[in-house]
Amino acid sequence: MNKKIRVLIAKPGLDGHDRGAKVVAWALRDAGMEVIYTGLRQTPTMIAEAALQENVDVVGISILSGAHLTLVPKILELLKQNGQDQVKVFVGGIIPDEDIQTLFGLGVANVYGPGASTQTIIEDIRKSFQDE
Amino acid sequence: MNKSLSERLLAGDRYALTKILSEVDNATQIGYQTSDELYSFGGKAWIVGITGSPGSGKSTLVNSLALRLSEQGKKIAILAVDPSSPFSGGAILGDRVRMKDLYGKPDIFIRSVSSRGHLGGVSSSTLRMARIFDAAGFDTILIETVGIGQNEIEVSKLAHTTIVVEAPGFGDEIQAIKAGILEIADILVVNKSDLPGVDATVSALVGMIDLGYSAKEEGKITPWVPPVVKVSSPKGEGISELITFMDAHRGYMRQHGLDSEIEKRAAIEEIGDEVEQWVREKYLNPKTNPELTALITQISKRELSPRVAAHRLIRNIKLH
Repeated sequence: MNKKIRVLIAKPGLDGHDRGAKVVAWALRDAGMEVIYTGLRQTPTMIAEAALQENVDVVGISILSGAHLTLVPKILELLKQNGQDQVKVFVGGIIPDEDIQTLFGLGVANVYGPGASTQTIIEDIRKSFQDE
Repeated sequence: MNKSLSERLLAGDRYALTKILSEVDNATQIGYQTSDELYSFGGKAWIVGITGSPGSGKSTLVNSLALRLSEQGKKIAILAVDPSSPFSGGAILGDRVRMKDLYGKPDIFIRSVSSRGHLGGVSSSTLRMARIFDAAGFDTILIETVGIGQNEIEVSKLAHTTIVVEAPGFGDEIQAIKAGILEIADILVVNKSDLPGVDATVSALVGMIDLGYSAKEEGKITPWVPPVVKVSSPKGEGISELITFMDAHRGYMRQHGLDSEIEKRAAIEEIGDEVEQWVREKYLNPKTNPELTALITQISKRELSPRVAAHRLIRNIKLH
């Protein structure tokens, strides 16, 4: 038995800033996780499809374009359609405070803004699997 | 649950497929059981290994190749192996970045795999995962190895056809003549053929292959001489030619029964691994085997050599 936490790091939409996503991917790798990195400009369908094929435990979505309230619900809906409601979804990027509660309401596990430490993200992911 | 995971996989359930792949990769009890259940449903898929040094363009080649094969109406599975970190055990699996053309194609399934500390270019679970795809009805399984050096040749033991990818300027003829990855190639791809130096690379490889085969004694069957194909993946140049050679190689392997030879050899290795693991767990643990402790004491007193001790242990292994 050698189970590893598998994480999909995805960048939906049109913004091309993937430094944050890469830094997080790097940190999660150093924390012993298997990170599937998909690159830029992914549609919600592509992200849900990759999450299914890779059977990930976590989907981390990086959005800096402001389109989070359009993209995130679509991704969550598609994950559910694929039978992957148990997948934890984390969102990172520029998310206004008033939208954070909305995202939590939709079922997002956590939201990280600029300056969030990678250590916090790692701990949150680990914690969400200890509960089970 | 009223239906088993295996039954659901055989009925075409992609969720069951992805679940089983994880169980197999994680070497769980369910994973082993399901592999055993599904074994009899396999044996139809053609397994193609794609290997080469880091940056030679393996993922991009797999992207173009899978796309073209799926246009021919084939169901394609891709196992894309990337290395795990020797320090953390984690991994960044980034082959999907180069496979964007393959999204939304219902007949293509990509699974990224971490080598999980296994050396040799693939993970220890790769062959078992390929068999799951086989049972699920995929026609061709492309195994992309980690970027390899001169000695990671394990994929050639699993694959029916092994494609070695080189980029122009890989080195001189001496590099090519060295033992190692060129010997495992059934087909050589010189990738990035839009770059300068491609013809020099092709002729160095062709020259080495000619040398190798003229030096060989005539065997019972005509040896397969690895063709060298120039490919430019983004332009799609050379892909049709590559597929023609892949078909020819499959024909050759089938004609001489060499595909089942590969499977037999892989099976012997797998049985060996399983037996070894059983012996280790049952007899090579000093805590549970007092006989081993006694033998080790004798070894440290120089009364026995480890080899003689091993044979005493073997004599006492009971059939269960």
